[in-house]
Parts: sequence; structure tokens; C-alpha cells
Amino acid sequence: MTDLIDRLRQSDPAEGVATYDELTVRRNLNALTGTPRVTRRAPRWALAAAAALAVAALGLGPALAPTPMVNSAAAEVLTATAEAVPADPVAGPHQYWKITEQGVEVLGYNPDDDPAHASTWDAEYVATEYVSVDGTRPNWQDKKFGELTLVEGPGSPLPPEHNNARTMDLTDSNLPKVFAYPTAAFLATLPQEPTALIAALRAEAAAEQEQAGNPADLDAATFDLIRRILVSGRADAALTSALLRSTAQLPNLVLDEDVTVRGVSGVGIRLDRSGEGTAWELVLDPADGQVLGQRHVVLAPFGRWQVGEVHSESIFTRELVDAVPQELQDRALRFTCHIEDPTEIAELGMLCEAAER
Amino acid sequence: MRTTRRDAAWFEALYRAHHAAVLRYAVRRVGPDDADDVVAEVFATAWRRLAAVGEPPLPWLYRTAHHHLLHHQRAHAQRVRLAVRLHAEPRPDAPGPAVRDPLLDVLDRLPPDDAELLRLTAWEDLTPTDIAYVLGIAPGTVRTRLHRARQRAQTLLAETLDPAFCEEPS
Repeated sequence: MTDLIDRLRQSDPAEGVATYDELTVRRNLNALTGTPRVTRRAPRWALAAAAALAVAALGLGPALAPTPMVNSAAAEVLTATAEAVPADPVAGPHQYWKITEQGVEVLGYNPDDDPAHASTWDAEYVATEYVSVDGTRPNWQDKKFGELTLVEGPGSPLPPEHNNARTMDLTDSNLPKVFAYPTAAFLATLPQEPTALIAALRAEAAAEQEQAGNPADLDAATFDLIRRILVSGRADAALTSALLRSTAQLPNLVLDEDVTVRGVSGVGIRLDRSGEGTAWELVLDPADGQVLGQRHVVLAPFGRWQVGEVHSESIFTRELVDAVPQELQDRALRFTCHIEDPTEIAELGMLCEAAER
Repeated sequence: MRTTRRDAAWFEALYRAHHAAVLRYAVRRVGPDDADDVVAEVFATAWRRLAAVGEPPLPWLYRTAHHHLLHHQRAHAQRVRLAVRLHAEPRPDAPGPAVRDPLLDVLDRLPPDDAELLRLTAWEDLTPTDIAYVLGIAPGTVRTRLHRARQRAQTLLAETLDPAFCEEPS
């Protein structure tokens, strides 16, 4: 009987079939990993939210209010989003992550310090960062402003245009492995078990508060730290998922069921900070597991803003590219930098000088 | 697979390690023209369900390929039959040997489950335990059916090689 199996082996129709060459392997991998890892499905958070609304409508729960819903529904959204986070595409070491932030922010200009000449605009902008995948080459940044919408003041003169393209001689591999520099190498050191991760984040938030002499709400500071990491575009899929699960452990979460940022629909998650002026809100797509962006929401009236209005907002995208555009390299200001104090946040702990071109 | 974290790097290692085996599996069952599609479907499933990929991964990949072929049997049937026919009936201008190995004809004449057991044993070199996983049946059942499949194949092969073997005695 063994002869039969041996004879079959000699008759293998796949004998001599060529395997894929490197180019084909790379092309196939790019095609495969460029697709979402988890297919779109009805999000569990929607079921939870619908159930909560049904209970309220039947008079069995708190009065039905348009927003917000606190805690359980928000935690459901975070968990659902965490489960659906797509895997990262396969990145080559020579490539760059192109992280794009597209948003609107308040821009003020006062050419001569005369209050009568001061103007304020809502300024559209696109900030771009090219982050070396392997961390051994310098990163590049740029920020360009677009349409300005006058909010206050005479509106003239317009603020001067600046060249915001820049790079520095330090690479990610030169930077200390601390929260202030959320490099891939540092983020890879964080625990991914949600309880351990939230403990590490709380410890860092407490240290930041102590260093800043600002004993604010620790939960809010922790949420803010998570938000900063998520919107930095530096967290990989596994860490993004872990950060979202960790966020679900925070108390007093608030869910905004239907928000739109820069034309993109999602759900907003923030911490309930009644009485505070503003709060940052993460905007998520639970169905596709995406961190879409963030909004700075007004919680107490100040200036021209009323409660519920959005002070500023932005959305994020991240993609792999093979090179930094030559136009950016030609235009960028180059800095030579050194780390003065690795325990300080980047803007304070790093000293930089413009380098000769 | 050296890393246990199921991320893109893990998937790339998975693909590099096993795409050739899955490609051969597919060529053996649907022919070279459709094999690339099967490979793509199998690894797309693995990518969508990274956490579900078994360890070791190859039986899981074969099982996924098996399911894929079953679920797409109707869509594939015509192409598979065409591939079989092209195998059996080389084009007149086709170079190379025109005689097909009689064992492949034997596989075509066996009940599909028997033929698949022999393919997985001979070509994928799987153990009865792994075959049971791929086909979703009990290992004991595999051993029983495999024994029967070998006997049937042996008989058919003898008939093919010597038609007089099966002639009714006059």
C-alpha cells in the first residue's frame, strides 16, 4: 500500500511549480495588508446604545436626552473599536509613515499690538509628518494653512505666511524612550494588557501633573495622555487596540453618538468634566476600528463660544510612503538638536539651533 | 514562526513561510490558472482573522483552502472541470508528454472524499491527525477511510493498467 502513496508522490501535479518571486511576494503582501483586517459588521456598541435609548424611552431609565450617554455605552464603543482595529500594513524599513492631520484651529494676528487691529480667524490647515519606519533617519514635518474664515476683528492685514517645513538631525533612535517622545521603539515597551497599560499611563499622567505643578483630575490627565498617543499616529494596531481597551476602564466617560469632523462621521468619547471650559474628545469609527480624529468641545461658555460648540477639530490619516517629497526636503528648515533634559516634555527638554543650509 | 504577536510582521512571516505550500495545494486541486486566486483567498482570510490562525499554521491554511474550495465549489466547478479536461486532453499543439499519469485518472474516479484523503497524505504529507483537522472529521475516521481509499485506488489502478483484470469471467 505504501507503493501507492509513493507513486502518487511521483505524480504530483505541483511538481516543478514555481513559487512566487520576491516582487510578487511583496506585491501580494501589500495588496493583502492594505485591506481592513476585520470586515465591516454591525457594531456591538450600536446595540448597546439602542438598548439604552429603548429603556429610557419606556420610562425605565433616566430621561431621554440627545447627548450624552455616560460610561457603559461609551465603554462598549471603545471595546468595539478596539476589536475592529485593522492590522498595520507591512512596512519596509526604508519607508516612512506619512501622518496627516487635517483640521481647523483658531488663528489670531495683531500686527502692532493695537487691540483695534487684532483679528481672529478659523484657519484650515494640513499638518504632515514623515516618520522613518526604522527610526534611523530624520523625520520631516510641515504645516500649511488654507482657507481663513474671519471670526473677529478687521480681518486685515492677514497673518504672514510662514514656512513650517522642518527636520532635525536627531532620529527617533537618538531620542530617549519616554512618553515625551512617543517613538515606535518606546511605545513597543508599553504593556498591552489593558489593566497594566492604564496603570502605566496613570503613573505617567501623575508625574506630568507633578512636574507641571498642575494637580488636575488624574483621570482627565490620563485620558489626555491616551488621546495624545492615539492622535500622534505613532501607535501601531496592537497598541491602539490596547489603548482603547484601557480607556474603557476610565470612569465618567461620555459618548457623543453622532459627531462629524471635517465631514467625516464618527462617535465622540470624552471624559465628563462638567464645569471645565473645554474638553478634548476622541472621534472613533467603531465599525472599522479607526481613530478618526479629535474635537475640542466647549463645556462652559467663554468668549464667542457657547456650550456644545467646537473650538477646534482635526482628522488623521496614516499611510506608508517610500520617500519624503523632494519639495519638502528642499524647503525644510534644518535644525541641530540635543536633549537637554530627557525627563522634560519634548518642547522644553530639547534644545535646537537652525543649521546652516 | 518566531514571533507570537499577531501583527503585520507575523503575517508577513506566515505568508513567506507557507505561500508556496498553499500554492502547490491549490495547483493540485484547481490547476495553475486558478491557484493564485485560492492562495489570495486563503491569506486574505488569515489576514482578516489573524488571531484565529492555528499553530502550527499550515493545517489551518489547508483547512481554510479546503473550506474555500467547498464554499466556492459551484463557482469553481466549471473551471475545475475545465482544468481537469485540459489536463486529460492536452491541446494538439501542446508540447511535452501527451500521456497522463494513470494514477491521476484513478483519483478522478474515486469518491471525492477518498481522493482527498490520498492527496493530503501523499502530496501535503499530512498525518491522519492533521488530515482530520483539515477535513473536520475524527482522526479514527480518517484512518478507516484512508485504508478503504487505498484499497479502492489500488483496485482502480490495477483495472486501468490491465483492463482484463476487471473483466467478468465468462
